[in-house]
Amino acid sequence: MERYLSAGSSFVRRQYAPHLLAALVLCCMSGFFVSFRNLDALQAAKVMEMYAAFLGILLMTPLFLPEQNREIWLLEKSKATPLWKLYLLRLAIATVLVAAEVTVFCQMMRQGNSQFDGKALWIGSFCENFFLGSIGFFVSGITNQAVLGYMVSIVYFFANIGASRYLGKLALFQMMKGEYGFILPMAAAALALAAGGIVLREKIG
Amino acid sequence: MFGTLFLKECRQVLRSMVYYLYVVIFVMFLSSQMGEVVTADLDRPKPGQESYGSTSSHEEGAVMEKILAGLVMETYHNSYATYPMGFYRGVTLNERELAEMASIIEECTGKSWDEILENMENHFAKSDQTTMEGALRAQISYSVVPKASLSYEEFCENMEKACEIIGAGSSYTQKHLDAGVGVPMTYEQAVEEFETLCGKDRITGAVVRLFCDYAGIILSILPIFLGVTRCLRDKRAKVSQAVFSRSTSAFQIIASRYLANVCMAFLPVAITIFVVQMPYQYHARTIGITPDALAFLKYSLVWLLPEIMIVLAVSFFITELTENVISIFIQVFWAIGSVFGAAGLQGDFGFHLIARWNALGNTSAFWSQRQELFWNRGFYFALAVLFLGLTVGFYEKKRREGETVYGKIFKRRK
Repeated sequence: MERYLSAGSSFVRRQYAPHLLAALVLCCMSGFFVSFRNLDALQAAKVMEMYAAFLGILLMTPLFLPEQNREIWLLEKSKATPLWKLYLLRLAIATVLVAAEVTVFCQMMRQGNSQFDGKALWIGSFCENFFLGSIGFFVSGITNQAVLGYMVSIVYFFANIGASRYLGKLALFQMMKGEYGFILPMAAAALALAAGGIVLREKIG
Repeated sequence: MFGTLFLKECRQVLRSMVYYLYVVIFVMFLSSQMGEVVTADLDRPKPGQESYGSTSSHEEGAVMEKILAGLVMETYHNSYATYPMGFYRGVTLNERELAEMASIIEECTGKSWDEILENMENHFAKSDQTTMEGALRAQISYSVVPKASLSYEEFCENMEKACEIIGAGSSYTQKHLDAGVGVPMTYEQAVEEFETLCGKDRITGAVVRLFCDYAGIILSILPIFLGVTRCLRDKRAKVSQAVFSRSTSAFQIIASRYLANVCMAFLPVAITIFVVQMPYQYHARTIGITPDALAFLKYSLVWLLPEIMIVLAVSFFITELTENVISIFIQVFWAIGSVFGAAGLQGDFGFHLIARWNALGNTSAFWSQRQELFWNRGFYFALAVLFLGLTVGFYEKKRREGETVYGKIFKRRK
């Protein structure tokens, strides 16, 4: 257990800190971009889907950053702890942070006298955040380039603005239309991408 | 030396997977927006058409009607667009504030809120809301007549009250009222507009302007990835120290990298724009107009090149400074802010990163605002040069002292 705590805290301090800081800044500045007051269910969904969704990309894409350095990767590979456990640990940290971020946004809207189904919005938002983040996680994992991970996930986000009809159940911004049927397929796709990212990275590496 | 470095950097860009993704995404985005050849909008207007589009008016009566129409619709949806920091922010009011807003509208119109809503519903029920054109036409033609005794000054005072309720940056400030409103165009105005389009734009100018509008959106984001990838490549390949030790100046290294990335980023833009405007050149000839064959180059150089330059310069600077990918997020938010921060889809160039002109034509209005566009693009060109200079300076500092803001500072501590 101590080993994992040490590995996790080392990753957060040395690689993840700027991303956490950026996520914090994004949360603190949200009041300038979106209103949390008197929203109905569709407006609350808009806040989560158009703004908070970015935090998933920000928090989940850089998880393979240390191993982009081949020397670090070789060193880690030579240790007793398998690499997939390290990746899983980082994914768990990012998942907890995404969950915390979704909770904070929902809470801010509640305090602003907004009316929405908290459970449905929380699950839907978490699922979208996790899905967008897992796209970045998967792409950066298989290409060994975090920039490509960001590029693909951000472009996917923007592609949904004009071309969501071509993306079926994996289209974003469904909650803004009052649709929640996407949750299961999107959750399954997100898990597949996250698992695929870890497995394929190990195989390609 | 500079030429050799420049060519080397171009080859580096060509070897990057990010560059090919850049090209594919750019072409896909543009073909999804401009894939269909639209020549119907470029034909001479005929008398008796259902609609001729819209034009801008500063006439007090028209301003009051259109502004009130906007206020009624926003109050009906209880969703007010505001731009407090230059970025879009939707505001929703509580019941007390909504009632106050309804009473302002009632005071301006002399009608009850229910009566106004009934008129609005009747107006939109009459028009075809199933198509984008129908919905737009209905919106353009919708207006709310103020009561006869309402003076323009009283109207402005009421709008001030509305602004206080909604908060900063609403669409009812004096600045917005002074900017004029969109009103339906008459046949005579449409003919005059068409003649200006043929005379000044020579068809291709209008098409290329629309292309620049769409391309500007995606080019506010895509070059970021090229810049970040290039700046992090030395670090990834562990050749930073080897490059630092060369006799070549920091200016030559950074400027050749920057210039290579600008040229390679601009190349697919110029090729795509050339291909897109070809059918319109042919269309112009068929209606007896000599097209402006170089419009694609003139517009892309003035409109899009400064944007590519500033986006790349800022990404170079932030990435050299932080040796991190954080520039992606800062710049994506800048781009989103610029898209949603514009007061409309045409003009209002100000100092927005993305210059918008989402119309095929509207030539007279564009030519009247052209100077503002030149100032905007000139400003970003100068800013790009400034950021390039800062990057060179910072790179030289790193080279001499081996210092960065994040990372190595900590390594020097004992």
